[in-house]
Amino acid sequence: MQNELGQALASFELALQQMRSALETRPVLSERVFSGTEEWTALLTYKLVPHLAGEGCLIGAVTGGTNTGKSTVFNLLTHQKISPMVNTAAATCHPVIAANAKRAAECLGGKLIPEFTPVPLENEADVINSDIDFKTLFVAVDDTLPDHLIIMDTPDVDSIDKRNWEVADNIRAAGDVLIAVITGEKYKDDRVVQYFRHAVDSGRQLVPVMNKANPADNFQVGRNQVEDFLNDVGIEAMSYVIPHDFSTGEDLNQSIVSFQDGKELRAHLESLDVPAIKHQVFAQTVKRFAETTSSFLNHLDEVHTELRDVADQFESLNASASLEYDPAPGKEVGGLFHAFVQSKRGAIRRGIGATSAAIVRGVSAIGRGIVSGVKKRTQMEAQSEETEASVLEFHRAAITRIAQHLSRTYIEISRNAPEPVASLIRKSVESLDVDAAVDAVIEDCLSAESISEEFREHADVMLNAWWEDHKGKRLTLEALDTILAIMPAAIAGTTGLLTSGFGAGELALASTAAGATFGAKVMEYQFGDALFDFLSPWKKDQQVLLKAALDTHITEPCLHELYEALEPFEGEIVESLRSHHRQCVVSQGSIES
Amino acid sequence: MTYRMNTLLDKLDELSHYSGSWLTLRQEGKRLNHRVAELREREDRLDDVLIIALVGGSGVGKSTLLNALAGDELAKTSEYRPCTSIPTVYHPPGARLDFSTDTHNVSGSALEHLVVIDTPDSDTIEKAHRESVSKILQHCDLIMMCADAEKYLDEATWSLLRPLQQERSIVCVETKASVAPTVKEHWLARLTEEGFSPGQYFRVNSLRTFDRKLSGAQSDAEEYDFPQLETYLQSELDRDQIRRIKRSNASGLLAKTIGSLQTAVNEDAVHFEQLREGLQRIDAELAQAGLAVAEQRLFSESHLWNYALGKETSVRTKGVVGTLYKVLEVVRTLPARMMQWSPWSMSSGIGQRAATLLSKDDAPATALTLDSAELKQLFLQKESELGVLLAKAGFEVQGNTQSYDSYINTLGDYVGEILRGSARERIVRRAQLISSWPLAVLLDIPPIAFFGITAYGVVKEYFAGVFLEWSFFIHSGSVLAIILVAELVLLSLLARSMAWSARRSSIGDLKKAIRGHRMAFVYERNALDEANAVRDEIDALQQVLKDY
Repeated sequence: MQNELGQALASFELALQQMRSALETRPVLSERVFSGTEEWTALLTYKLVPHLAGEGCLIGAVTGGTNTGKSTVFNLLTHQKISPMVNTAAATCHPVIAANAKRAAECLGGKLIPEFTPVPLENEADVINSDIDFKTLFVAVDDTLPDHLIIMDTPDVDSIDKRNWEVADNIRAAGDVLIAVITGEKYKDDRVVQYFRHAVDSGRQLVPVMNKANPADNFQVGRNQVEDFLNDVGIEAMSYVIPHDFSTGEDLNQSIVSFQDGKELRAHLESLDVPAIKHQVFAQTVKRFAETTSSFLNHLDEVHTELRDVADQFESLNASASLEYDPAPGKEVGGLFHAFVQSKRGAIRRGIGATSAAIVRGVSAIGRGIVSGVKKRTQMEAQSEETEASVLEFHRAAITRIAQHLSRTYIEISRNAPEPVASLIRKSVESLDVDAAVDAVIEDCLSAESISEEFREHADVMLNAWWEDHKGKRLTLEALDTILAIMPAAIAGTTGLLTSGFGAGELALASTAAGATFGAKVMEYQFGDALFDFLSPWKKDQQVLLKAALDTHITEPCLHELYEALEPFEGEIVESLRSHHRQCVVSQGSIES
Repeated sequence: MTYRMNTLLDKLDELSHYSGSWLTLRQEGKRLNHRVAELREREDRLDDVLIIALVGGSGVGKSTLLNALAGDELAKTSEYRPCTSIPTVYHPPGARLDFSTDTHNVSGSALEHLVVIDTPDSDTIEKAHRESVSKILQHCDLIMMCADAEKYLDEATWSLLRPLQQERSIVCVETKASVAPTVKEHWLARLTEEGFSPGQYFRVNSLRTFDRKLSGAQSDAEEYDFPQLETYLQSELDRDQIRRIKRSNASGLLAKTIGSLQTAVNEDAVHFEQLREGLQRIDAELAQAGLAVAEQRLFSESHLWNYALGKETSVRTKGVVGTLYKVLEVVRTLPARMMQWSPWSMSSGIGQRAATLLSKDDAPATALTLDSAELKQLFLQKESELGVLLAKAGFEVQGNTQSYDSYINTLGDYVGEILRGSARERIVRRAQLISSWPLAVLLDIPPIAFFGITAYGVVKEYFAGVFLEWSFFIHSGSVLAIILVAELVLLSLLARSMAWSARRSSIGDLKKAIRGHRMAFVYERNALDEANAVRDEIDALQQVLKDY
């Protein structure tokens, strides 16, 4: 069972490390994911995984706030001046281990507390040298210690040096028994009390030592303070005392004795039941680990959802933007039908049409001479016919507007996005070259063949099929076309005769344009049922094309960092974290029973 | 100095109420509002009372220090933590104070200008204490950071003070001085490292002093720096010094406020430049397009100009040839006028309106709307392009439906102005030239002279008794007609070329009028100008502060 658990824990740690390195390049997101996980990751790294490697000795760690005299207590326990005792605060910045020769050798071999680099303590001052790598662990030999006890000195947990906190947290995870050094000033400090509360929660045995206590009235004040402290932490325990007039600097052979029965601390530590404590610490640690990691996994889910939501929001904006695109070629459709019907003209009607056109041209030539100014104005204000180029221009403008609007929305969202999303999208959104992106989208959508050409091809097929199927409507259309063919010439001719040319040009031009529009309208109406079927798939195709183009050139570049950040959340790392966590929970149940 | 401070605050206040479309400043405004209120409150407070807060971890002896200063047991002291739970305010009689938290006020301080506050601890598990300390810190002017060897580096206290860096003067008080060595060097070094600049450092043993004061004995060497601390409070902190401290606090806060504001607003600076360029470019493009439409629609239609010039000339013409020209002009413009009478006429059309503007002195100033599909298309395109630039620079993008109309109307106004003004002036001037007396006389001389000579010849022959042949009359009449026609053609050509030149020059005028003028997006441009002005103002504030 232990073996299984060990493997699950080791794999969990591996997956965790993968997750960490996957998010390494994104400090904001990493902070969001891993903040608050320091405690249990330390438990995992410093206790759970190495414990299973098989170690059978207690680690007693001397811990507490700044300048409470941790190093003093440490030295008193070993009866040697190993750790430097300094007047200024936050001095100790590296943990120091005292062990007998055999254990010290093991420590130096890196077996006991992995992650820290063990170095034999040669120079006392190194312990307070903050320039040395803070993963360094100093090892000193004290042969008076038995095989099953190691004593550690640690940095403080509450000074302004956050690095010291980190080391202290890791050491707390590594320790089995915590010798809590408190003083009359520091027994109620929030940070200190929290530190020990966490330790108790993960099954560590706590041994409070009241330093600098006033011996008056049989340490009454100190006793009450320790009691208060134990209350705050939530346990009962034997507690020890060091009077404030202890001339500690000079004599390290004095002993630290218990309030209750005067028993010596060192003797107490040596007499502890190693396997029982080890088991308790281990079981509690696993339990706490299982609890806190399950909330971590939930937190991971939350972060994932948060990121996913943003990605989804962008994608749905992308999709709805493409739906705004209405690629119907507008007036062109009607004109197309008209042209189609004209192309179906027989020889007679073609002749009539040609004559009519010639008459219009002739009459208007006469008219033009007389009323050149009027004609000019008419031409200016008449709707110019939509040419191929202007249709293309229409599409280009529509797509440009859609793409620009989408980019604008992205910019607005990214400016207001909260962290950690902002750190992932803001830079890419802001560096998006909107003009280039819009050009690329247009290139994608309107490239290859001209849009109206494709449309026309499609239309030809549809119209031919319709023409064959609808004989009745066909006749109506042909009759209408004939009228339309003759009408301009008739009007122009009549007006020309009546006004000797004056005004004919204008009227003929106007009637041709009006006739074409009217004809186109009728055709559209006649083709009404076919129109919908005819346009919708083509329209959809165009929208899909636009959607893909917007995605490639705008959404994707804006989101690429977000997508990269999402990968570890959606890949197998999280999956393996989850499955190993399940294994741990199962195995943990069996350990407790 | 107060005056200048007030001016600065008024400026900041104004900025904090910014409600334009620059979102960055609007967001900053809320924070700024807070800061301004705080600074104002500091300004309003009695100028000569200094509020000193004793701040530190539990058990360092803040209450003992206060007691020692007062020489009386004002604040409860104890060996159990935490001891003080509500702040004790020790103030001179008559001072009115409000710290927005529960306080225990003790009057009777002999330190005339000082209010000393003993705060609860900053570091125990009682979270409420920490909050109460924060509140007191908001109101105080001078912080006495109290600590002993155990607590001088505690994060709990430091974290409270860090946000107030440069905003409050700090004095360090090392309590519980004993034979043990002082931590002064280390403490001061760490403070400097973290960016604090403590003013004074006192090392005291307040308990001993307090006991001594109670027993009424003289001070001794065991009290360390306590006498100096007392001297500092009693005499060094005089009005001038107090004012100096307050001023330095205020300017520290002000500097921080303006500094953070500057950082926030300068983040958009790059995009501002792009936006400005974009606006300029878009404006130029729109002006160009508008000009093209105007040129195409109005200025290329020569008949409008011929018509107007003809009309002006007919009113003024003199002489025989002039009258003939007038008659011809009436006939020539008949079709155009006929068009106006017809029911299909485009009398409300743009050309008609333009012609009216050109040819009537008292033409009504109706709007000339040069609406066109291409122009609208172009405008919408530019509007969307601008939207991106605006969003990048942090402006709110407002879909203003009026903006196209206003653009078109502005364009119309320019064109109308030209037509009504300089173009019409040109037409009139040219008409005057054509119908001037010298020209009329010049034109009239040949036909009249010819007529006179011919008539003289006829009369002379008649008295000589000779009757001229009919052919002579026909011949002379033809010559006269040829002369008249030639002159009319000449006059008409002159009028045409005049109309042409008036048209060309007016196009130039229109180009000049449109170029360099704001055609569209006035709102956006104003917002940008306003934002730029705000940035300059902030820079100026920063400069003022530097000089101060």
